Amino acid sequence: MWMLALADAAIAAEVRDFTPGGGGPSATVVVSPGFSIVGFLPLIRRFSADGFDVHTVEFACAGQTRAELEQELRTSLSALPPGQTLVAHGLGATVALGAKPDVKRYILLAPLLDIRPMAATSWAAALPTGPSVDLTPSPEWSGQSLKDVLLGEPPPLTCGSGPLVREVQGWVREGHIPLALEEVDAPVWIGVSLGDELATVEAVIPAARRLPNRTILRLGLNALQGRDFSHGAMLTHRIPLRAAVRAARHRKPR
Amino acid sequence: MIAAFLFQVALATPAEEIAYTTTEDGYELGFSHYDNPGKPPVVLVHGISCNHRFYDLEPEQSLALSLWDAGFDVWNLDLRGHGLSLKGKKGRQRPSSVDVYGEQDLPAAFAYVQQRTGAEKLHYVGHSMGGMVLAIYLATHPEPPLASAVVLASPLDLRDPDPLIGAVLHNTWVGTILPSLPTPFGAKLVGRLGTKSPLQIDQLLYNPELMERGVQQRSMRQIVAPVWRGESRQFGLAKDGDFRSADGTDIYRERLSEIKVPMLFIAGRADRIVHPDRVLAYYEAVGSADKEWIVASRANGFAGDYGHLDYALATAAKTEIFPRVIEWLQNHP
Repeated sequence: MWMLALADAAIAAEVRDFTPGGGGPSATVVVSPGFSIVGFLPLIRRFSADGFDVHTVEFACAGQTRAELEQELRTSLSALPPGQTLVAHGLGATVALGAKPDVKRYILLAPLLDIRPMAATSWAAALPTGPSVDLTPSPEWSGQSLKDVLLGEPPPLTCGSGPLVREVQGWVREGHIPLALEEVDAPVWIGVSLGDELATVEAVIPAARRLPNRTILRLGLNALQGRDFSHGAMLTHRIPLRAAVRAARHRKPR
Repeated sequence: MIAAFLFQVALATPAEEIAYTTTEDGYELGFSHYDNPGKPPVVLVHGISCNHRFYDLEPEQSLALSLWDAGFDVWNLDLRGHGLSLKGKKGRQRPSSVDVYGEQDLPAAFAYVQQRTGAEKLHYVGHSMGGMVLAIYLATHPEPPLASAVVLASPLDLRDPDPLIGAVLHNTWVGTILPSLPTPFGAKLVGRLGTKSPLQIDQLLYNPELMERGVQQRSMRQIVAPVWRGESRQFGLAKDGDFRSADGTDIYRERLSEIKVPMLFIAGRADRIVHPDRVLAYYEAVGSADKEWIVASRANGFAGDYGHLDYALATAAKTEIFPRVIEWLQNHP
């Protein structure tokens, strides 16, 4: 079923090849740090069903910083065929854009390009962290599950690297993610939705305008899609996934 | 029992005065005024296709009365062509553009309130187009007689539109065929149909989870005014992304860097008419050192995600929005 194509002991990131027949255009899906690959399966299947030769890059929870994750991603991509379409979601998109690998284009769903603190994120930014953070339980915030509030329909989470979690907490406190978006040369397609409490439209869209070559698509009720999408649903709901595949294929959105 | 309750409500509610003033270009403007002699005056300005009842739907759901109760002299304005200002002595008053609200109506309204109250400085609360009108005014009045302002869901940046708003901006010519669009008729239908409205129009206007069904129905009957041809024409110029002057020369977002008025901006996570990033652009354009930005959302500790009409009409607005507005004005005497 899943064939391990590359496993270099020198890199912590794991690369898998999901393509049964191969021969299609190449897409690499970056599994967001802290997320289980299970949550990415709908996205992987969607690209695979559309004829893409899909690879995934997963990061181990091994105490890395963002810079180290970016290096792992660059190393992993260098072992794959050139001309990859890089597909990412949320924090995975932050790592992907920070790595600035040589790719054909980026397809980003709900990317964390910048941050504007809110009560729930500010509260989470003050939580104590160790060398690694178990993300499977959800702390309670204001009488609600923090995961539900921030992710909407949370996909399965695993473990966060402590240094990375602390970096993210620092971004929340400072209200800014340091990303040199002006230096990203490849075309970037971005799907966002009003219902996303993490990759909020007010944080993502102004930041996205710093990208020299970008397309921004607002998904949700205003696109007559029946609902707005939470951060979790941007990874799993068929409508954002269909939009991402169409963008990767250069088709117009429906 | 009911009579006693009504008597108590009557005692607690001030008498509403309807006051009129005339603009320099001869239009008559009506105010609903809750008198609070000697107290700081606040001018409330509604949005497009709305009237002053947005802020004063009924005693139990009224920002105007909450402000009066908090010690403000409340002047709830109807811009020309809306509510109390729909007709003047010469008949229907049709605005030729959005600019005339900022260039003619606000200066006349401010001067009148200053003259009636003797106050040098006023407070301002604008919802949606009511905040855009303030931007038009501020663009030509860098030292306005304003102690502070609150902007509820007003966009100045319309770049990267969603499919719906993009379609509206690219088809504003439809709104120029007739003198006005019959939006009050459509709103009554939405109020009656509620969640059964076609294309989920109700959810475009408000978050049904936050607004009582009765308020939904009554507001759709009472707060809606026509959309005028002049408004459609000027909004049509925004299809390239920026809210511009009616002659297309000025981008208002670029005219506010000298403004020093303390301003509070509130946007809503479920505001499908004005997404929060569009309000943020206004917030960032204003030069004031004293300004604040709030998104009314569940993740920010609110009862839910606010939609476009929820800032005044959601049940929770009484405990979540009104106190913030009052506090902002009180802290900026």
